[in-house]
Amino acid sequence: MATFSYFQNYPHSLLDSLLFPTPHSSINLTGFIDQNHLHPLPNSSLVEDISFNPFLDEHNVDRTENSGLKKQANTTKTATTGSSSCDHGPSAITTTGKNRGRKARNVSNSKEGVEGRKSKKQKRGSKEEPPKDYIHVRARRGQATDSHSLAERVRREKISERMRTLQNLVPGCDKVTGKALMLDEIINYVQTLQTQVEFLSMKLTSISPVVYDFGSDLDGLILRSEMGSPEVGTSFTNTMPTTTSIFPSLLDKSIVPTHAQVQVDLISSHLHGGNKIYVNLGS
Amino acid sequence: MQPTSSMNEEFLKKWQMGLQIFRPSIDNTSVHERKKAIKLSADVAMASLRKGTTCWSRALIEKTATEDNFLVRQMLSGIKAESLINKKLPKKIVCHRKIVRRSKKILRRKSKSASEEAAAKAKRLVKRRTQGLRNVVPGGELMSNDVLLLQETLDYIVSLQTQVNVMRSIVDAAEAEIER
Repeated sequence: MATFSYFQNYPHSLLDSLLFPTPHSSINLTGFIDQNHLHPLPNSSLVEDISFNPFLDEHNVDRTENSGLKKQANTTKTATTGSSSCDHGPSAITTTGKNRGRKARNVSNSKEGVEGRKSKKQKRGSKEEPPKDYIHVRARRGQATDSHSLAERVRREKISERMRTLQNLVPGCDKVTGKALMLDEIINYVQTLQTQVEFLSMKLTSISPVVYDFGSDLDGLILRSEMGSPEVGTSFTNTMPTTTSIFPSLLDKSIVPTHAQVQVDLISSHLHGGNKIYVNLGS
Repeated sequence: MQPTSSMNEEFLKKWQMGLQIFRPSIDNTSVHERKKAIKLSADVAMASLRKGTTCWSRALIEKTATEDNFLVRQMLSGIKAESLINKKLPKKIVCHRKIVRRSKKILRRKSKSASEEAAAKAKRLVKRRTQGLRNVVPGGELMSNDVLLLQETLDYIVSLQTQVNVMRSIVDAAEAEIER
């Protein structure tokens, strides 16, 4: 029964295996006849499937994609997803195969690029993918197999993947779809951040009269802002060694870092000290 | 990927180190000089976090080196400074606009179908945006392919976020301090 349904879902596979003879396909033929051979098959093709998983969304969306192979630097992502998904039983393969509606993946047999730059994954029972130099991309049925379109497709997938991570990073980009609008948002965001940096640096110069003393204020200020005031004392000890090394001239008095009050006095004294210097220069 | 607290701390330390360099020279009394000092040291600190692995950091360091070479050399301790400053960045991609425009006009006369035109228009928009992005991200013109550009943008955004967070927290703390 299982074999029969399998055959029905992929009736073309037999023809394909005949037209494109590969060592893989020869085994497929026997797999159709003998049910016992089904299990090793899904394992191998499962890995082929999984290699596409990171790019699954784009595959279903973009119809115009072509297929093929390309020699590229390996992204270990495919390797890790492959190895992790190998652990799932072969039962997963039929369901995933059926779910891919219109893009009916020919599980047992897929067209491969004619170029010699490909190499097959021999995955029978092996759980781990050895790291390879290039991404293995399998062509799908009904897609062109020349190397240019393959390269194009891989490149497009990479770009859309990056765009998705950028979408998560830039606030308010979840609703935006399409490359142009996304890029618009990204450009705006980067420009905003840059102007913010400018503005904040200007504000800092205006707040601390002498910026060089302000360098020593930084430690105390940062600690007070980051942590709650009761914890200030303890955290101050951690940074004290570095600060004393950097600002030996300023920190003459020994600090007892148990009271926040002491620290406040220290900071205010620095500020006043800074003011004094400023006044002297101005006069 | 969000900026982590460890990144904040590292950035702060490097920034402080950079500010220390200005400590001896007290004659920078003008606001602009001080602001420049703060901003430049912050930029170099941000770029040095990446330790020369990303393209934008190298380009940023190169850019600040033209403004204040001394600062950059001091901040990047010895070994890296020379290699980073003298590193030859890939050539800038120069497009001669007139030639490009003329060739585009000729191409446009050929494709007439509606769907093709729409696709071509979308492509043009995207190209314009990517060019805009290259202008904004430091070292963008040097990146040849889009994938690299997007990756660099990602990294650059995260670093900018850390920079802004740290600066803002300091400003807030300083303001709270002054109010006392």
